[in-house]
Amino acid sequence: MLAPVKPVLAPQPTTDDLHYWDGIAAGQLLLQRCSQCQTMRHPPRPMCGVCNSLSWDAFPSDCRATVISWIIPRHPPVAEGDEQLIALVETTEGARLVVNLRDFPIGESVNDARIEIFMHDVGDGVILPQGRPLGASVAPGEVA
Amino acid sequence: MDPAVADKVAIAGIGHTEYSKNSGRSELQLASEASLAAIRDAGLAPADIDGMVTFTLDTNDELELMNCLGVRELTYFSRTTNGGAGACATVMHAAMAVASGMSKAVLVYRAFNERSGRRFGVPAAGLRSKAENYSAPFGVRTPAQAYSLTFQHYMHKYGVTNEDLGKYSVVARRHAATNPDAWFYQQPITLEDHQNSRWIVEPVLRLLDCCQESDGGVAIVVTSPERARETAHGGVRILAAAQGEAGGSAMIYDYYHPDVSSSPEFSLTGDQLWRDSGLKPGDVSAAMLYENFSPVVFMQLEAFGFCGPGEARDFIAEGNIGLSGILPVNTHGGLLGEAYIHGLNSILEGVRQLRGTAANQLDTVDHVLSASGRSALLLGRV
Repeated sequence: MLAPVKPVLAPQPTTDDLHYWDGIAAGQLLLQRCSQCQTMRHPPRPMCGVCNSLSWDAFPSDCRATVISWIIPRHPPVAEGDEQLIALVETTEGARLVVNLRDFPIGESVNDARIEIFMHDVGDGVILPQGRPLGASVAPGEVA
Repeated sequence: MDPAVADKVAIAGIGHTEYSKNSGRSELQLASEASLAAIRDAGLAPADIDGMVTFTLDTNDELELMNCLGVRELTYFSRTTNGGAGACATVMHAAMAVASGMSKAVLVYRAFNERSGRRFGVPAAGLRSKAENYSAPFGVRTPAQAYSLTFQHYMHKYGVTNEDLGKYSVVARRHAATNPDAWFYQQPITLEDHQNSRWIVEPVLRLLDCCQESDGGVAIVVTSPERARETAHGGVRILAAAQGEAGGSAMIYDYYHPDVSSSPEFSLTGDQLWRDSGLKPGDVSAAMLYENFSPVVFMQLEAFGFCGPGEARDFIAEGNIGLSGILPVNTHGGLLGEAYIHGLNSILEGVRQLRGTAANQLDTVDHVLSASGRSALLLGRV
């Protein structure tokens, strides 16, 4: 099992993305959507860049995504077995997220792999969205 | 940039300290030494300087540097964002200040103890911006890691391997090997050395794909062509200067554009240069391309129009970027081979090539591209 480098840098929510991180902590991947023109935007920001509306709501992602790119940090060195597989993924709704991939063989190409996103306590009580192979488990969005 | 600006500005002076891993003196002293060298190279005195531009990341306060140099008054001062990607923007700001009459002589500087002091390559100890909420908690803690998430997509899309990247590193180190100012003077590498160097970020960057961490200072003086002509070397023209930022991005390493394999910012910057100068990539005698990491050279060669998307691998492998190639690149050894003074040292090499004073002097040099991704300059002879 892959483990994140310690100590985990916990997200520092701002006024503009507190709702996102509150959602993550509650086990939900909530994506921001303009109330006026319905355009999804991520990462969260206060104004819609399409219609300039300040009104928005958030809706739960279906937590399905495709891997765009991936890396395994090797320096500074990490203990064998502690390597992290970090990926940039795009959700069905078009949101780009950096996540850690779990339950994938380390070192094999995972470009274009289909994943599901789930919330996971990565240590120190920090809950982050993580990815695992699609179909590997239970309900999407569940806190594992 | 209005092409008329080019007739009102010139680079009249350049200066730098030695490039090291432990300067043994303060960043302010490095800035002062490099600046004084550039001012004298321009045939000016510190009191002639009335403008300053540096990076937002530079620790040297304008007032402190004024007091060290004996600069009396500043009527223009600004700082450029985007870290090293804004390196060429410093000269653009200086040129605009001179062309608009805000300033008569602008000092551009960048100085740091980036190896013996605060190292850029060490994992971040904390979050520095809201944008990092979306990467740092997941273990993206160094520039190498952050940039590699885009590089890996580029490599996957075009079938570029780490060995392909190494072919750039070999060229950079070959150029540095005959540049006495370079930290890696007389230390060329082979592709085998590159492939034997340790992974920094698998499967993208090995150690020899990464720029150095360096101590040192670099400075440039931008003033009028009339003043530049009075110097012994005659100065260098700024034919075009540009910056580029494209909506949708959230950090200088971009994860949010529709196509992660190319940078619309690089293209926006390059397109302005060709439009404003009337030149085309084939008119460029040499290119100094910012490379915190080797893949950035590939992406700039493509965005600035020297080859098509995905073609940089073959362009480099075919020998085009060596000293005898059709586009010699980073003839000083680049940031991998000479030093990493946040890219400002690579602008100096363009000036030297046009003056005819480079260590690896090319035979015929009419136009030099100096590019740092999100900002760039086209330089020419007076």
